[in-house]
Amino acid sequence: MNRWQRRDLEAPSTPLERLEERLSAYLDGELTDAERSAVEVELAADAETRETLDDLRLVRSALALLDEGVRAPRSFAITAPAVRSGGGSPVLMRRLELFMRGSAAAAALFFVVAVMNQPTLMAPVASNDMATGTFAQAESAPVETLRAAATDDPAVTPMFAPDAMQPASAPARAMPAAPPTAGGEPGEGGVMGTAADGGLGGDAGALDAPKGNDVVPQPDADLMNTMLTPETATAPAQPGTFRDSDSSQGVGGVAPALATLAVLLAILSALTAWSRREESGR
Amino acid sequence: MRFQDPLYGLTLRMLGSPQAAEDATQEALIRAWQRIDTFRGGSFKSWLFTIAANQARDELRRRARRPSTSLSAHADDPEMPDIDLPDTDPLPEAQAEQAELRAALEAALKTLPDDWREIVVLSDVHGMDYREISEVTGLALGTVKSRLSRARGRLREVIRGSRELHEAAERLGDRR
Repeated sequence: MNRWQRRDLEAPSTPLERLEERLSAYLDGELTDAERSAVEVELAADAETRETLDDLRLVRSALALLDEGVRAPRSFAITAPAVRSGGGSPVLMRRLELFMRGSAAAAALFFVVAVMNQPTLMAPVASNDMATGTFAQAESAPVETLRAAATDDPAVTPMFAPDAMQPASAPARAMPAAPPTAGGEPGEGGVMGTAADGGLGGDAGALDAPKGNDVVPQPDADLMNTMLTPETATAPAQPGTFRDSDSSQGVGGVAPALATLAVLLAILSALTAWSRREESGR
Repeated sequence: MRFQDPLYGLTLRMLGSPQAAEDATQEALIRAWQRIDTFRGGSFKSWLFTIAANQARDELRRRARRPSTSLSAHADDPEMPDIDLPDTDPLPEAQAEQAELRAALEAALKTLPDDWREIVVLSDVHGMDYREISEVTGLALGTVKSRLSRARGRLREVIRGSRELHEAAERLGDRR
């Protein structure tokens, strides 16, 4: 039913409806003096009009008494938390609680799926610590010693060879006395970086890999001097360059994060339920 | 709280369910608290009733959008409070007639269209005049007047039916 049809329906259409509208307004004192006089004349002349007025008066007085027995079932005094939350009504609180329960369940489900698909995600990565430890050791060395070592001392050189600078995660990579031997195949041995190692991946490995019978490359003294200026030697590792923890194992943090999220949401949900019960108990 | 009973009564009449009325009343009072700075003087009761009526109308619109039971379905709701008219007449016959009238009015109120019911409740249950009702509902005075008379007319039919039934019962008793 559209607006205009409804308007037609509401407008008094029969003589009785028009009479009821006049009498209703008369009862409520909403008529002008002239209208009221006209109604009073009508009332004096017609018994049916008087009866209609009596009925309407009865309706009005009966309705006036209708809510005398109605009392609010509880106090609706507003508590500070309800106002602070900007709508702490039972409905909103219930919806919030349901939302948090659902989110906790979803997070828990994702956690299970993540662990089942990659069980090693939760295992500690020992090689990372070793590689990082090696580099941390290098970082802590005095600059002059490092510079000297880079140019003079062959025993220390491998640590600062480009290979040692790579954020490799394999334990062999971290061993300073494991230069590739002559005749080694490319890709062989622990020195070789592979994409699976994480870190710089294939390119770094290719850089490290000695080709066939090549002599082990000695670090270029100028390059090492540039690299080991006091600023660069003491500066913290740049993201993606030296810290193995920055390598591409980001997914490893997803499972613990999901587990934490699930637990937090479950706790929040329980707190909301408790708060709602407290609220309704007041 | 001074206005909580009438506000609850209004939302109960408009929504027909104690639980929905409770939620709407609480929500209305929270909104009133949050928007107290928008009160520009005048009748504080009208201002509060406007918020509560808006809240109840929102709920009615939500109900209309989703399938649910009609208001009349609450007639037999055990949760619905037993609303008793105070018995002012000590005569048992008059009491019976009043109880009958009350039950008939309760039932008839539930059959009214939502917007008619809101107006007749604001006017006859809560004693508001046409201007206050117009303020609360946002309707023109003429529309308020028209809807109120139509609603009362419908309720009058119920009263007439109840009275006729009572008279018929009396006549039947006299013959015996």
